[in-house]
Amino acid sequence: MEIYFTFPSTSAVITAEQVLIAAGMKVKVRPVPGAIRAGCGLCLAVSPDKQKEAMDILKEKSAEYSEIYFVQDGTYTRIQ
Amino acid sequence: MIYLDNAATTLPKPKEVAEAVTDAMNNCGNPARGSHDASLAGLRVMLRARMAIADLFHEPDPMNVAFTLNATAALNTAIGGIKGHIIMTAAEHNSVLRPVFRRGNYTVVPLDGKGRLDVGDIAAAMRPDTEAVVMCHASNLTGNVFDIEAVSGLCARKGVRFILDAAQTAGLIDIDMTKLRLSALCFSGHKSLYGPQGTGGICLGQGFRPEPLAVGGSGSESFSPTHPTVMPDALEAGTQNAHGIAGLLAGVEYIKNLGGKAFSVSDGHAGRFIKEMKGVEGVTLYGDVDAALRTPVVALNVRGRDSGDIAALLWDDYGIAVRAGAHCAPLMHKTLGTEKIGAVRFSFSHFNTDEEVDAAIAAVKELAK
Repeated sequence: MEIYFTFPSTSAVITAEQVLIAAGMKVKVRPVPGAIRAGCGLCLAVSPDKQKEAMDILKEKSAEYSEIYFVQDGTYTRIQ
Repeated sequence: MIYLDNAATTLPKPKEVAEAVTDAMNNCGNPARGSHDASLAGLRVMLRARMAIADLFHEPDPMNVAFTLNATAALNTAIGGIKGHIIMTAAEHNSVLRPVFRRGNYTVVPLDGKGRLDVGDIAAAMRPDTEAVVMCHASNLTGNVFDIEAVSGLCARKGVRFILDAAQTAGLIDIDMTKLRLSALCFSGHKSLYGPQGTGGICLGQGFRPEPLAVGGSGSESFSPTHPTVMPDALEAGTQNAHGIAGLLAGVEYIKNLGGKAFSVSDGHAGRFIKEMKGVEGVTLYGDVDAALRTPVVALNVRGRDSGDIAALLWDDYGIAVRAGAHCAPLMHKTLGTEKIGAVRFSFSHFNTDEEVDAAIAAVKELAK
C-alpha cells in the first residue's frame, strides 16, 4: 500500500521530493501509472501513514500537488 | 593570451564550472524521462539551477525560470509573445532587433552621441497599441547601463509590458525582476554568470505566458497532441542541456560566493583602462565613459583605423584578444558614427589581472603613436 501524489510538472515533482526530504520524510519518485495518467510522467510515493504529514508539509512550502491516489495491488483509487 | 573579450563569453571559467559539467556528464541521465537515479540526478540539478537563478533575480517562483540555448532564444520567445506595438532602443543587439524587425510594428528610440537614453523618448514613443518595451539593461558595445527603474515605472504607468535583455548584466548588476515588474528577463548563461556556452534562460513574470519556440517531448502528458502549458515544461521541449545547466549552477554559486565583488562594474579593470585611455592622443573612446555605473566594457578606435586591423595587431603582436567589428549592434554603431570602421571592444572579467590591463594599456598607447 502506498500513497501517490501527482503534480503539474516533473519539475514540481522533484521540488516536492526535495521539500519532503528536507523535512525528514522518506519519499520515492515513481513513474505515473497509466491508470492514473496515460503517457510518461513522474509522481511521488509515500507510505499511507505519512499522507497527512506530506500534505501539510507541501501546503506549508507551497509545493502544489494535483491529485492523491491510494495504491494497493495494482489499483489506484483517487482520494483527492 | 590576454583575454579581453569577456562580453562575448567569459574565459576562463571558474574551475568549479568545468568540474560540475564533468560530474553531470558522468552522473546525469535525461532529466524527467525516468524515475531512476540517473534521470532524477539530472532533474535535481536543473531544479537547483532554477532555484539559484530565481534567487539571483529575486523571482519568488523557480518554476517561472525556463532554460534556453542562449539569450537569443529567450528573447525570441519573449518577443513572440507580444502581438502589439514594440518599443526598443538603438542600443539593442541583433537578438532583439532581428526578431522585432521580422514581426514589424515597432519604434526604435534613438540615443544621444554617447549612447545615452532619455527615458522621456520612450514615453514619447508610446502609442495606444504599444504592448511592450523590449530593451537591453546595458549596451554590449559601450558598456552604458540604462535606467531600467525609470523605464519600469513608465511601463507600469502605461500598462505596458517590460521585457529586459540582461545578457550583459546578469551576474554583474543586481536585478530584481519583481520590483521592476518585468514580464520577462532574458539572460545568457555563459557571460557574467560564468556558465558554459549553450546555456541561457528566461524568467517570466506579470502573468506573461509566451508560446514556446519549439514543442515536442516533455516527459509528461505524452498522449496529448499539444505541448504542456505549465511552466517550466511549456518552454523546455526536448532533452534539456542538464550538463551545461549543472555548469551554469556552479557559475551562479561562484558569483554568489564572491559577494559584492562581482557586482563592482564601475571601477576595477575597466575603470582604470578608461582613465588611462582618456589621455592618449589618437584614441577615441565611445559611450558614457564618465557614468557612475557601467559594465566592464570599453569601446574605442585608434587613429580612425579599421577596428579589425587594430584587433589583428593586438592579437598578432601582443597576444591580446578583443572583439572588432559591429558586435551585432548595428544601430548602436550608426549612433556612434562607427558603422564604417566598427570599434575595438575591450571587455574585462574579474579573472583579469592588473598586469593584463597594464599590457592592454601599453599596447593601445603604442598603436596610437
